[in-house]
Amino acid sequence: MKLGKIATAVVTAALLGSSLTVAAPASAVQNIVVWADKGTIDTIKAKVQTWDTANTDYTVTLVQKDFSTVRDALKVAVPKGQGPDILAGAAHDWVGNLVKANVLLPIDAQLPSNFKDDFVPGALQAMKYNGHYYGVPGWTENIAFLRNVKVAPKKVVSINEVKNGEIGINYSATTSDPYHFYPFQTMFGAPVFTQDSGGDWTDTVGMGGTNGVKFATWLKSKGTAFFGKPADAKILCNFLNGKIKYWVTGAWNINAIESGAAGCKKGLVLGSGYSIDPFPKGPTGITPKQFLGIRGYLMVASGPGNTTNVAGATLLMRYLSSESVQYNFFDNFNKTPANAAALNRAKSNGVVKGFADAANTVPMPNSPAMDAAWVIWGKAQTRIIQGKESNPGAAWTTMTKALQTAINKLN
Amino acid sequence: MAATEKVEKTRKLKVKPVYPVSVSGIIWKIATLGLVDAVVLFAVMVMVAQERMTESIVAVIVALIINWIYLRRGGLPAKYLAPGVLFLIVFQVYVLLFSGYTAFTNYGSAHNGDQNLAIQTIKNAAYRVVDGGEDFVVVTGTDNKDGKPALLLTSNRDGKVYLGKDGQQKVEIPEGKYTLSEDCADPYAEDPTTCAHAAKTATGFTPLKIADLTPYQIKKYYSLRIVIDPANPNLGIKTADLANASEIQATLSFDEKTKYFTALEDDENGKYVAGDVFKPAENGYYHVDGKIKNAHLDAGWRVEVGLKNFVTIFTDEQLRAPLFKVIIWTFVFAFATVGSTFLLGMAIAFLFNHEKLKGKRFYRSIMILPYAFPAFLSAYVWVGLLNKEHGFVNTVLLGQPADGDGNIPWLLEEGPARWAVLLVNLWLGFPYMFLIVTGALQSIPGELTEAARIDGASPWQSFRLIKLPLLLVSIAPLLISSFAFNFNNFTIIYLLTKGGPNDSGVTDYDVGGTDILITFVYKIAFSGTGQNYGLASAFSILIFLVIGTLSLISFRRTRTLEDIN
Repeated sequence: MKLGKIATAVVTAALLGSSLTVAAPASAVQNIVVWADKGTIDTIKAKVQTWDTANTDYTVTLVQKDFSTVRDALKVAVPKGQGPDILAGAAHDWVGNLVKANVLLPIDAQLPSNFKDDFVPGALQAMKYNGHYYGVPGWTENIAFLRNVKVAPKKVVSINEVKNGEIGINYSATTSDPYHFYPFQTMFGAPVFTQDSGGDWTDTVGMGGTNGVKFATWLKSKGTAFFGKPADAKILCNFLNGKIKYWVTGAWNINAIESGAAGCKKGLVLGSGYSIDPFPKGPTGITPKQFLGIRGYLMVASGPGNTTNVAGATLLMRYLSSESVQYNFFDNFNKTPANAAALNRAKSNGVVKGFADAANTVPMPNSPAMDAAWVIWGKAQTRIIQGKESNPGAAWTTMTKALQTAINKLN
Repeated sequence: MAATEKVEKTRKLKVKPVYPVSVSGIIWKIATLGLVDAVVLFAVMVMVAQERMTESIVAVIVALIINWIYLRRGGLPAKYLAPGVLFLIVFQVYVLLFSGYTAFTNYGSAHNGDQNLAIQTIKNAAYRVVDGGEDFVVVTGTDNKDGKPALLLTSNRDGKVYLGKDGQQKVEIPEGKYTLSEDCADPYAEDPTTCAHAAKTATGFTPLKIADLTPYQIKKYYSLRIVIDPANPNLGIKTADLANASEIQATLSFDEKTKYFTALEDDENGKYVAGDVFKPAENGYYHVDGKIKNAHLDAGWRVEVGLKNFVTIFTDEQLRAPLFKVIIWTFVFAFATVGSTFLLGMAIAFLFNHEKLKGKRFYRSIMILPYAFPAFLSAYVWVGLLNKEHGFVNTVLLGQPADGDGNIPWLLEEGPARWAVLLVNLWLGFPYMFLIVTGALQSIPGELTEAARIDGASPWQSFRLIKLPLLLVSIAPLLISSFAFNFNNFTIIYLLTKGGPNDSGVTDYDVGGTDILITFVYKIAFSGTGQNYGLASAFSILIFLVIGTLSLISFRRTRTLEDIN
């Protein structure tokens, strides 16, 4: 028995000893950890490897995360000191929420003063929250007014020219889609929030008041007869067949338009088949605005002790925002560059040129207030469109007030 | 009998129990314990490196206890129970205590982490880049005169080169005294022939590569501040990435001792003025003078807030109406589900229990099918079947045309969505009731019903007065547990409607027509507008209390049923 016990102790000790050798030797090369979703990793991988090879002082570790949960993961990881250095492929409207959760690091001190000019208007601004820049833009998205050239040979100048049943727009029966309806709303001069003198969004709801009421009244007068039924799965087919003339949508539907869909006509060709137009002017001649959505690279505060590799991460982020890299992402992965020079080169592609030329954009607000807005805003919108509100103006005003209350509660 | 005698005998003979010792047993023990110890040791090393002392001490103590339990002789019960108890503590007790604690905090996305993290966040952003200020390309190195850290600055504005040291004004280096780099100043410039170049070294300056710097040196460079205007100590040239530097104005100062922030400038939105002192307030924010009604800095931390979350649940006016609705619907949903599944399941059980019915086994197997499929799968299939335009229910069962205007908006409007949820849950739940009722029925002795029949009882009387009470004795606890399960039946609601349709007027809480308490809590905790784990935990405690109370009352009541036996 004693022997057994001694043997146990000896072997246990030996096993313990062997575990000590697990620790890796220290290395002078600094590691930059990048979190990204799968789509982003597919896009940036090759270029990141090129950078990694060229910069022998640094190595880059790409960690794949789920796009819909990466924010939560970050909020949990950073306070424990387990966050990455960069969050890549982040949607710019996450910025406010993440800043509030103490997980981002401002980068304005290391940006050259003219850095803003490298990008399309508003793109770098979109990474700004509370007076600080937290990241650099990667690629952009916006919607345009698509037209089936065969049934509508002429560009639409005013929304008044559009008749019932001619427009296709994707929206939900319960929460609408304020993103797709935003151009129509701004035709009445009712922006979601007010903007300060520097063009930054504030947390004050801007879509109330007479302009908002005008929009709500117009929305009800047009209704589903004009905009079509909610959650209509046939928009693509109808657009291809020419049953509807116009489609409010973004570049993500271009593939489907060009390749066609089962059960309806074959795809259309840009130019002779379909055209990407700017939105028509409003009933009173106001030029509408679309939201600009930006995916970019955010600098993460790596938790206690500020262990973010700022020097390396800045270099890598500026590389990923540079002209040749962003042109490469366009060339290989169809990402519309946020870098202005790269975008100019990419305009050889008709689709990119179409959406870029159609863009009269304003970056989507990136504050937590925007998170609060979507559902409340959309609910009112869809009820009005579907004729469920007898007094659309009053419903709209109630909505804006409730939204302001909800936002004030956030602060 | 002989066997028992033998056992009795051996028990008497033995003074001490002797455990058989086999070689393979010892090897197993050594290997497993060694593995456990190795893992713990590795974990402790990692945790010590991260300065998490409490956790590492706990890990060591737990490891010692485990070793003691398995190395000592005797104490057999502990050897069996230890793994179970360990997992119970880790996965149940700890989780319960943690969510209980969270209910009394303001933990959420705006109060993420501790005060030190918030202080760090505020410090990180406590500056602004001077509008129209000069910015520079930077090389790190030392001044040869005194060996102190210095920055070689090349202006992006006019290409002039300076030497900058901490606490001093920058000194221009005349042309000829510095060497320009062959590489572009902008490392990613498109055209290397026309790009600007920055100085890479200068006389009297020794450049140091960033990769060769120690963390201590790097810190020195980060905190290095070159004076611009001796009269303004808060203005300076600083580098944040050791490659670029800008003119920076500090906007807040921090006192390490008191942990207060002081505003150095007026806020651009006029919320506070220079000289205002920010002190930690009890709501987990820095407020001017620590008073909640004053302006605050935008980084919060987790604090204990006492009963505030519970107070919110009961007093928040915006929460009241939706919460009331959700509670009513939760009860309706749970009762209706238990009631409908039980009635249907029992009816079918009685039907298939009839002696004269042929092919009982076949029917019974068919009936169990909905239960045999994974509920996730069935729920998704039902989502498709209930689609308004093209779903099977509308187009085939109800004979509507696809796209018809009269189609029932299952899942899209509150009323139909509630019916849909109940119907699907009936479909998923009745086989279970059918199974247990069948089982219970077969355990009711045939003599009882026979006696009743001889006494002249009608079939209904025999069901109501004999079979049902006997059934309920064994099934009532299952009905209670089924109620508790459905009260928290997150899966079915989330998969079918995600709690929607969200068409219930205007409120700042994201609440839909089929939301039950648990899905509502999930939305508060994990979705949309800033997570609020504290409030969600408070809700779960209340849900626990509701279910606990209901179950307790019900179990008390079932005791009266048992008296029938």
